[in-house]
Amino acid sequence: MWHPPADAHSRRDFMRNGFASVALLCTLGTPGTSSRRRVVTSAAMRSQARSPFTPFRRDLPLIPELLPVRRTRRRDVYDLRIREGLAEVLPGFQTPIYGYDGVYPGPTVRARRGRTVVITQHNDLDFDSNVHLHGGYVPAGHDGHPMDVIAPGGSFEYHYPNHQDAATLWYHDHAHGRTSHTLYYGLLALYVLEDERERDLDLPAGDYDIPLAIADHSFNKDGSFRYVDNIDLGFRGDTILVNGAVSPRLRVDRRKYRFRLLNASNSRSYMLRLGRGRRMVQIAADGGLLARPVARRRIPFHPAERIDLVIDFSDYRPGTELVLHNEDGEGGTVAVMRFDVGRGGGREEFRVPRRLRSLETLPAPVSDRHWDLGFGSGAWQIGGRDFDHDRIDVRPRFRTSERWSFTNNSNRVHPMHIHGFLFRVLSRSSGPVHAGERLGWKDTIGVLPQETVTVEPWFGPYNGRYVFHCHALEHADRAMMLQLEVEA
Amino acid sequence: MRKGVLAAVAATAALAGATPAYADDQTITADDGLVFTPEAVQIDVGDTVTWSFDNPTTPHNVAAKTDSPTAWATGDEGNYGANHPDVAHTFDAVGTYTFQCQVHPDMDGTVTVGNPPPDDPPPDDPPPDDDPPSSPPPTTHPTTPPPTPSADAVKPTVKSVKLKALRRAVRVRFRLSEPATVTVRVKRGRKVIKSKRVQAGAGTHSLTVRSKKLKKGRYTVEILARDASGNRSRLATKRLSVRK
Repeated sequence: MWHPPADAHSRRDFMRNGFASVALLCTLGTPGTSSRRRVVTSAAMRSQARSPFTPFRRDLPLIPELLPVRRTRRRDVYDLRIREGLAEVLPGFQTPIYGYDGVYPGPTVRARRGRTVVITQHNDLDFDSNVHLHGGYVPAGHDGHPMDVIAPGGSFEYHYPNHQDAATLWYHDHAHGRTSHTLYYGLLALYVLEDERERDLDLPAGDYDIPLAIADHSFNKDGSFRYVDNIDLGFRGDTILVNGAVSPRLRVDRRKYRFRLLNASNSRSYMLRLGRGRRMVQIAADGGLLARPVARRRIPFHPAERIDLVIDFSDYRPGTELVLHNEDGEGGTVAVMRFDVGRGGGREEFRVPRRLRSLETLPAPVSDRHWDLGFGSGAWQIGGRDFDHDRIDVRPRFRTSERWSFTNNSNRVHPMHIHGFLFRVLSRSSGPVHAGERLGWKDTIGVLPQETVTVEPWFGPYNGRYVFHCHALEHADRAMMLQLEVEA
Repeated sequence: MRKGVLAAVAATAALAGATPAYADDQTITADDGLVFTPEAVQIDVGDTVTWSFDNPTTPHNVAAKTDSPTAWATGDEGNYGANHPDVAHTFDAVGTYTFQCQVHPDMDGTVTVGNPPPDDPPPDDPPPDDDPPSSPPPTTHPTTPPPTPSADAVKPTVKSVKLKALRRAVRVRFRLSEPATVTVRVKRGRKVIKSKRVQAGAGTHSLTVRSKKLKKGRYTVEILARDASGNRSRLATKRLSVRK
């Protein structure tokens, strides 16, 4: 069993002080206001200088891109070590992490449609690990099923065919029963898949295409991550990290940017709002581009979901400071990050096209299935069942679609994720499905308390054994996961 | 909040000498919220406390805290769930007994057990406010300790830096001594016009830094490597002239 560090005792005092200073600064006026003119007192400056938790003090870290060890005509070959490392999350502190190559967040893989990516993952930890490419069309043997693990000291060559549309995917640990810990301590990274069709749209690219991995954390006095287990609510941190920095800032030019948002939190759902409700244009969801861009002012954002946004900073005057808020947060979990609009620019030919893609029509569903989500005896359950790796819970037919409805009988959000397949969202009992979810492919869907959500997965292009589960990881690790097997 | 409750317990306990504050059997309730009500009760030796649950959706249980001043067990440890049955425990010895819901470690409370005669001394000091965070509930989890990276003092090195000017781009080649995060910055004067960060293994690498700002002029390229233990290489710099 995992134990909190022995000196957690004295750390609590610090945490309390930490909260107090963050709370103090919040009252001084950063989040919640567009803060063009901030109150600056010497006391505020001193406390800002002292607290590593003060939002908007660090620049947004660039996540490194992984360089291939070899490129051939049809494949890119990478080599990664799953190992321990130190990250500088709080200025002046070294935070022990698990990381891909010891980096948090792990290095981003940039893949091209049709070019196979081969990643040899070496497990340098002293417990089992494996890698799940979340949202990827991946043959079952390479999907990172919780029982397919890499033993300590071993390695595995994951093959990702990349026969799917451009999308913001991510990879993370998925070893049975420990994902809540390993993800929290850093085993996650982005996998950006690009294709020609998307390239032809001339969306912001290069420096203007920025991944943002958002996660909540807490800290001990020595700067290490603090994890408190809570199987009901899931882990809730008191600080938001974006790309591994506390609520950072990003200096932006007056033009359009593409942001690839990943909710890399264990269990926290967000309600994102830019400034006082400024326009953000959603262009993609988990499985790639939407049929058309969708303007949004508030975005619910559940664990493991991805949302690609285009934000046009030429709408703002130079010097504007725009805060991306989490409306559902409190204290240190309100301010996600800040965009500081630079000078100049403001003239740009590019417009987001009105049509981004045409969505495939699915064949009529061949089956209706219903899953109740709730807490059984001592474990979270799907359809009244706990995870059992010796049992196949559902056998959809290969290359068919089905209607799956999830009914949440609990008071917690359950972000339901199906491995290996993508789905469309058909209905929500709580109201209409937002265009941002309806007009594209998804692999994870937040099922709200007491809500029924119906989705239509398509069981292709690969057959075999996969899992589907709740992506609130404290729930998934406590058995909220079932197995499906698609037979050819 | 808890301090207040404990202070109240202590204050009531102090009064115990004057008025018999130790009550008979007590009931503590819990519903779908995340608190026990009341959080603190006082009883006499031989009395029974019943934890009564009305929780149709939120799983709860009641377990003795592992750091309870008086060690004990409710018998309900590890047995959490919704619609939880009532749990009763009869206390046969003086002491301070702390309990919690294992699903919600912050949902906790105290049973203070005294002797029936009112002139008995009040119970021992309440548990310190700074008790360490309660241990996580028992699970079938595999062991996953927090990371404790071993010290590595070897700095990565960046050598054999070669630059080649391309059209609005520069190709950078370098040799790296160990896997590291490499930051490549292209500067004109002091101004960074482009920076790129990559993750690379030991060996020779080549990457292209593109920027529309790479026009005719003189540039400095800086390369810095940082390994997983946070060791930084010396800053490798090289100059570059772009002619068109």
